Amino acid sequence: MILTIPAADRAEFPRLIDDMHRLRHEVFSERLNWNVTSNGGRERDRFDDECNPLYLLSVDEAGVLRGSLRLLPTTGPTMLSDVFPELLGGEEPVRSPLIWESTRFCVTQKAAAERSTTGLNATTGELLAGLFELALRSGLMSIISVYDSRMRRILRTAQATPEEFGQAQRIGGVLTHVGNFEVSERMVAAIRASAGITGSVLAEPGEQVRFAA
Amino acid sequence: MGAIETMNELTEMLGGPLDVEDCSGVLRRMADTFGVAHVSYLGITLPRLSREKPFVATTYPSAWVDRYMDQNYFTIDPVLNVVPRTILPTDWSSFRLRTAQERRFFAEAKLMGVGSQGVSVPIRGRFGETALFTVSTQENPKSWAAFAREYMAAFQIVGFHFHEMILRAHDVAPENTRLSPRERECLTWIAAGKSTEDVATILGISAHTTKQYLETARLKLHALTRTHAVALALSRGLIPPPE
Repeated sequence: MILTIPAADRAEFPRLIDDMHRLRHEVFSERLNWNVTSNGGRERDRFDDECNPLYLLSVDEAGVLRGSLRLLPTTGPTMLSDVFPELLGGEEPVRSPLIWESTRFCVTQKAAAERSTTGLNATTGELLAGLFELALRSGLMSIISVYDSRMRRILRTAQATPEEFGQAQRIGGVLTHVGNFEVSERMVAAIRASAGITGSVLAEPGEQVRFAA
Repeated sequence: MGAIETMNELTEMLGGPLDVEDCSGVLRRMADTFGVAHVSYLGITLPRLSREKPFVATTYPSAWVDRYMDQNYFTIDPVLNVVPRTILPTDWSSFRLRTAQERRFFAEAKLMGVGSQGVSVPIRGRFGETALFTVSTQENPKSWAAFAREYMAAFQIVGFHFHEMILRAHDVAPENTRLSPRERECLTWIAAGKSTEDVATILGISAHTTKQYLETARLKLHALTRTHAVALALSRGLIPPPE
């Protein structure tokens, strides 16, 4: 199940939000060794603190975090425009109420190890399905994202094929790509098919409150 | 008129200067073009505008605005308490009305003609500001749901352009009408008579991305159609004339 939690509401889900920052530290700082800011084993940056992003959290029935991602509207500050503009190769950062930026996509080791019947990890599939379902419902045209080569392969498996902008570049030693993903019924259907999902993965507003703690 | 034509017509209208006194007039035209009962805009944190007095522009009947102020409804209105915190357009049907007060508030709003169905779209800007754009009707829930789904992109675009128009009217930095290199490239090829598919092939990008660049360029120029966008870009010297 996918929970949608604005950063402004972090105090309503303290345990899950803290688990998210700890997972991000585990994945981006410890495992991938990216140049990120961590404090006390939690990874958190100025976009979390100042830009009020929307978090998508994948949780199991017991409310345990399995994975997460972060969304920002491109009409405000984004990682691509403010941190990695060089990835655009001279092109201006895209800025539109119909385009959101997705960043910090990560899955717990336990969830990642789950065997899948479809070849795509269940949590990864659920996060992607939730993302595009939400984007479609919100009238969006595209999702833009910055990702490494490993994530790129996973996106192929999920049939979430992006249009890649410019040339991939090494940032802090990591080969980094910028992808533009079409938001459409077709995209949602393709991801659902790859993940073996039928129907919505998003928690109803009433359901979400049950995970507040 | 469908969602796309409505969006284009209103985007063109919102490209001009605004007489701040005429805000409700502009909103009234927007409501009529959408075919809805009411349209509202609330600038919650706007650069250079006082935080104590958020900027309000609405087509709501003044009797309702008076009642709202009189009863301090801003303390319980879920639109104000929920929507500015998120990036998601929020349908009123998703609000869980937990108190008798909240239920009475919605009942009164309906009675005073505000509408029983609505969607509030949060707006985030480049100065870190937040605003809200709300559309409401007296329609039944089912036809409203279908209408809102079809018009959601239009609400997002039109709300955003209204917001930029308000910023312009208050002398905050003008919106960016400079075309990006790719937007210029795409529009130049269209001016030369190429189709979207041709442009995609020439530039080695997907049709979706080509359409995206043409769309963002057209909306920057407040052009009604692609042809209009080309004409505006040529007349402003933003793209070279075709040989």
